[in-house]
Amino acid sequence: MKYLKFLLVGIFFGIVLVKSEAVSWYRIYEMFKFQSFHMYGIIGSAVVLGAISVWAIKKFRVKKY
Amino acid sequence: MDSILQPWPWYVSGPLITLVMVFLLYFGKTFGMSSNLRTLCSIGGAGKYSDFFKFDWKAQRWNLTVVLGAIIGGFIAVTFLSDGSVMDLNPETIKDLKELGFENAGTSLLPGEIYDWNNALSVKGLAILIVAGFLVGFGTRYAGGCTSGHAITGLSNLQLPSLIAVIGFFVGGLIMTHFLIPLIFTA
Repeated sequence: MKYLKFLLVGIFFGIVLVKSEAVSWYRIYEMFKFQSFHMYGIIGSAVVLGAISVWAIKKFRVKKY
Repeated sequence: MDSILQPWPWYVSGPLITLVMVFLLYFGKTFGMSSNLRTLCSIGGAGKYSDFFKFDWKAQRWNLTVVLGAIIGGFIAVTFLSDGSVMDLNPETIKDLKELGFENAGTSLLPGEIYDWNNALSVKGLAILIVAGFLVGFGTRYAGGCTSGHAITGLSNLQLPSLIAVIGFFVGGLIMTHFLIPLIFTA
């Protein structure tokens, strides 16, 4: 089934969001109070690594992207 | 196994979120959750009222599948992959929340003061959720994305509009946290 891979990525994403506490109302509140590095660490590392990944994908032309 | 059941540190979680984006790029798609709000409106027939919703939503079924998966994954994580440990929040945060009437901060993902059924179905609680839902729905479509599409995908692609949107989200969050929440919730 062609949607299975998307379902699996979604399940993985849901698990990460909960286990990282990124979906926590309290963590988001704490972030906007500048009282923890946790959320900034998650978003910051995701973006830095994401930028490197996108750069690498473009550079080495993985698939059609 | 213990390290899976305990909350995951940021330096594990962040890269795993990148991995989600990379998987979707590899599949020839893109990572963005709030586009699904538009898709759902179109399925509901909103195309009759606005051209914005007149598009081939069937091409977006893959993204709805990702959302469905995220719901299932969230359930799996809460039900089977958690040891019930309390969030390691800053004591200052817990104290600040107590002053606003939020007890037991960090013992669950969401505050019962807003999301418990008896609070959610009160006039004030219902108004909070409906207004909040409207703001999220309108804002993400007006900006063309949310935290996943703009902050993760957009910034990873070094898109200036995404940076502007993310700054906007953040300023909005600061206004809500520092000015509006103390007005809405006074213990």
